[in-house]
Amino acid sequence: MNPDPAIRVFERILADPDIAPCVARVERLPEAPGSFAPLPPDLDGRLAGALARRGIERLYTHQRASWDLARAGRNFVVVTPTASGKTLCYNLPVVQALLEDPSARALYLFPTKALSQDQQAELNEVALGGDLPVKIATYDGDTPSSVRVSARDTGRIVITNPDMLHSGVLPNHAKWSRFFSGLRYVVVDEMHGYRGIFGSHVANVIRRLKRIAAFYGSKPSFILCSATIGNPGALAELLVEEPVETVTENGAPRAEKLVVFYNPPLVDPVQGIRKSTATESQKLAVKLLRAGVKTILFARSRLRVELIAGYINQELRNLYTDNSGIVVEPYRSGLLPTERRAIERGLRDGTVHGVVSTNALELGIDIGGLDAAIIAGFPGSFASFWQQSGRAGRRSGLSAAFFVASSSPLDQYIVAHPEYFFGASPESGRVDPANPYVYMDHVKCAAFELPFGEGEPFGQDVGEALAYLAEDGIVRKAGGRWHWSSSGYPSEEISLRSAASDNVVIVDATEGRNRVIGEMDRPSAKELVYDDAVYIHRGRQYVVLKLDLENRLCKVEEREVNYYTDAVVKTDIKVLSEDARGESAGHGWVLSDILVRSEAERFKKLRFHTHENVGYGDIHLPPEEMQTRGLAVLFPPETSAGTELEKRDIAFRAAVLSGMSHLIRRIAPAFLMCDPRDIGAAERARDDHFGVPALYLYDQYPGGTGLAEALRELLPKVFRAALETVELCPCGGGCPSCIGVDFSDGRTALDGREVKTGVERLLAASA
Amino acid sequence: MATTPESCRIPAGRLLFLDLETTGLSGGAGTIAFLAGLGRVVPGGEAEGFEIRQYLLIDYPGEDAFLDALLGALVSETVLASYNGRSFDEPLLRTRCILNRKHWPPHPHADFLPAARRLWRKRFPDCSLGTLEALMLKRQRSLDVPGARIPEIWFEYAKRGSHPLMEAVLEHNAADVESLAAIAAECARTYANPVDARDCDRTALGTLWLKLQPDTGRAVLERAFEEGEERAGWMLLRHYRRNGVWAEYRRVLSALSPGWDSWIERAKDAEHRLGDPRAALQAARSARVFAADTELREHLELRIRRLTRKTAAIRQREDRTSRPR
Repeated sequence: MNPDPAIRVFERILADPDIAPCVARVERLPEAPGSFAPLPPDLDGRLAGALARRGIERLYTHQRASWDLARAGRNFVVVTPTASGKTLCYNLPVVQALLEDPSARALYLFPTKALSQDQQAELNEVALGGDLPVKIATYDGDTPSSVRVSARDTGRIVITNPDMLHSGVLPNHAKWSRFFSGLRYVVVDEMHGYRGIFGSHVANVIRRLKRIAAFYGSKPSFILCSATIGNPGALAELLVEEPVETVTENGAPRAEKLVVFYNPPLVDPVQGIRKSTATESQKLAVKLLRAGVKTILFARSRLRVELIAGYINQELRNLYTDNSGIVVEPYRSGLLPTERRAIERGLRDGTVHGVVSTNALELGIDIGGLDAAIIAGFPGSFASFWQQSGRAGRRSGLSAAFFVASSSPLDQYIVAHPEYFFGASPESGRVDPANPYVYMDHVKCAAFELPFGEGEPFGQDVGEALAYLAEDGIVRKAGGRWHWSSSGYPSEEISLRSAASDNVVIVDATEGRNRVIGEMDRPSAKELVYDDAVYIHRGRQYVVLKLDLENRLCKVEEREVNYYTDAVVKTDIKVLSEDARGESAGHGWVLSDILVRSEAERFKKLRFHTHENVGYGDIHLPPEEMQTRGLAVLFPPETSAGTELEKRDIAFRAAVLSGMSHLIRRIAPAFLMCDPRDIGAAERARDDHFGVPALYLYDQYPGGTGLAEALRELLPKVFRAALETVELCPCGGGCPSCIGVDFSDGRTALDGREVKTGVERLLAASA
Repeated sequence: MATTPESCRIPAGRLLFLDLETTGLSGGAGTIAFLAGLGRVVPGGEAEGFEIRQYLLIDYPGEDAFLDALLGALVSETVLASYNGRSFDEPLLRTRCILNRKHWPPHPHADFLPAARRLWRKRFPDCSLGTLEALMLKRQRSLDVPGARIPEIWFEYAKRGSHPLMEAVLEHNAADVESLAAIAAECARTYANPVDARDCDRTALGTLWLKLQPDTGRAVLERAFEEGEERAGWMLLRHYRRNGVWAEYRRVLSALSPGWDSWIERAKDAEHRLGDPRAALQAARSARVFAADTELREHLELRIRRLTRKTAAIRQREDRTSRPR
């Protein structure tokens, strides 16, 4: 084949005088040939025929290995990158089993509705050629009730998501009795997404699923699929609580890919301030799109998605008044399902050339092959990074992934240490199915579904939990079994996704339109769509007229403004109980239950493009309260770090602690393998509870997910990495890349260089 | 067995009236039925009576026996009769049977909620059992337990072995079964004597009969129209028009109260069937008086213009033919 013209496009862009100086590193990931295995001899002729029609006459080695494991009745997890033909790993053995046994059934779990629909389309049209006698049904919140009965009674493969399984299927299992009686396979795709609190919920939902299957006399095998993570086998075993084999060797060929590290130019080298990722990634995207490169841009938040998509479209409009043929869409949660489907379709059929997305498109939704991915700011995990960069690339031909570093210490650390990045082992997924909050929720659901027998375990011994629920009269023991004894429907009140299960509906009330334009969970609503906030939806600007939390309604009005808004959130912490404490020469620590109250009291108005502050407004909303697990890092005078702090006055201490907090909060996620949003941090120059300077690091989910505990063990490593970051930072008196705040701007009496040194000394003393 | 006529034609003696009290309304696997009231008409000529048997679950472990007793009462010649039981009571019992590894057999089931809705939706604010009982049957319950409190009373009863209000729950259930039987009887009576039926939506009833037995349907609708039911008039109008019974059609049409719709109907009749454009023009102008909607007004203007042309042409023709005289 001729050299791909894409290489010239990328070369031209990398050599562009606007771009070249900022390119910190270009890594070429070479192509790799595929390794193949013959079709299994016992493969049903109809399946072989369906494969042949798709031009498949042999399998990749990982597909064949999956087949062999499935046929041997083993549980296994397939770990392969995007576009390696993983769906055949489960579709082949599952469909074969369904063809062999007409009573057999399979359940496919996908993390989102969009993925379910995508999979049904794939199963129906492509994978199976459409002529196999296997009925496939999607069962989720969007399934019309007229179709639900037939899905339950005649669906051989039922595609759903954990939330629907939790609140719709399991509580009504008697209606699914035929399905459960024949359940042979459970497919769990995108397993790496089941981490943290969500994963802990899903592990418990799977417990309930197995319990119900057992009631109907079936014991399904599990087939899981995951993007590359550090511990796929261990995570799979935690989720399904059975031995799970791993298939990691990837037999699919890989095309060549460029990974480009782009560090935005310094605006002020003295202060270490860089141009924003929003403007820089928009610049890159416009260049790529104008060169005809289909591009996806990943941004960290819904707000940034809208901002960047707006900037790109503006830029294209300005430059190309006669060529507005390039269509770029924002994609994020909060859009209506129909809007999302339309964008996905547009990407597949080529009418949409570029998309700016949150991690919503990181999952395996089929949007066709794109040529370039721009990742605006590190997404918090290597797994996410590779998933996002995997969105660019087809079976053959060059693709490119651009990482646009933000000023955050983590991003700067990565840009400064590419070898760390490329050498890093991928994150491990953590779940804690025994998380007391999560566990108790699912004990309730399980008791509703089937009475608990005497001594029957639920992951662990459930007697204590049941006794506790019995005290509240929610269950009652009678005749040796624990019966649900409440008129409620527990799964209705339990959301797997976040602490709050209620959504605020956003209604466009412009000139009496009264049209629902989006949805948002309650805590996010408090920080994003408070009264007078600017809400951007698919590039249109709206001003919030009234956020009515009681009625879960947010009325907005379309209005052209030249600024956006950003809430200033204040956080209070109260220690509820101390569970463990310890002290090293450097610092002390306490693990505890804490109450975190966060309250948005004010918001900033920021001008578009320049992001300069043009005003403030007040927010009057009740605070969010959350009980969680926290690690308090203490600096009593007898530790070396404490001694370091004691030498200075309180203002200086506060500044140094704030710098340290800033660094740790942003660097720790790489070590904890979590999303930066999963941990919170707050510093106290003199803590009310402990009476000494303290830094709180806590789990952002109710009840905690074990991050505080893990952080305690990793703390010395995190301190060292933070120290290295601040030492390597070229700035003078502190910058967003190291200690966060710039102390050299004359607003405080503190000397920036001194604070920076102070942070270095504190970190060195702590480690 | 869901259609109104079929439910209403089953002899009362074959109906087995069922009403359940349950621990919740969600119907998931954790909701149980703890009280079943079964009512039936006991034949005996003059001394015909109504018998209610109640099955009460004293505590969870008894559910197996509770369900066995209910299954035993479902004798093959009976038809289960309920109020909303097809979507609530029966699926719930089916679920309970599956959970207790029993089989709930397919059994004929007449749900009187759809029948009642059809007959009385226009008469009462809603067609819940309570509303019909109070407003149609004019029954009053003294000291009834509110339905929402019932689960909690049973939970306490099962836990402690007694509850001061359990007796009242049993009475509540019995009263529900009685009202159900009375509503079923009212449905059957109304349906069987459609012309003389009191207090129901006679138009709906007549429409229903029109399909099965046009003579009866017509009689019911005529009666309703006499009583001032405009909708019945329109039903009749359509019926006569479809069947080409023009005399009857015009009788009804002339009795319809004036409005844009009846005037348009008259205009059409005059223009197309009676061949009287002048009368049609007049009718169309009358319709315009009642038309508020813009689109409708535009439509009428077109009609009036067309009719004006038509009448002008006629006048010319008439003038020409009259001049030589």
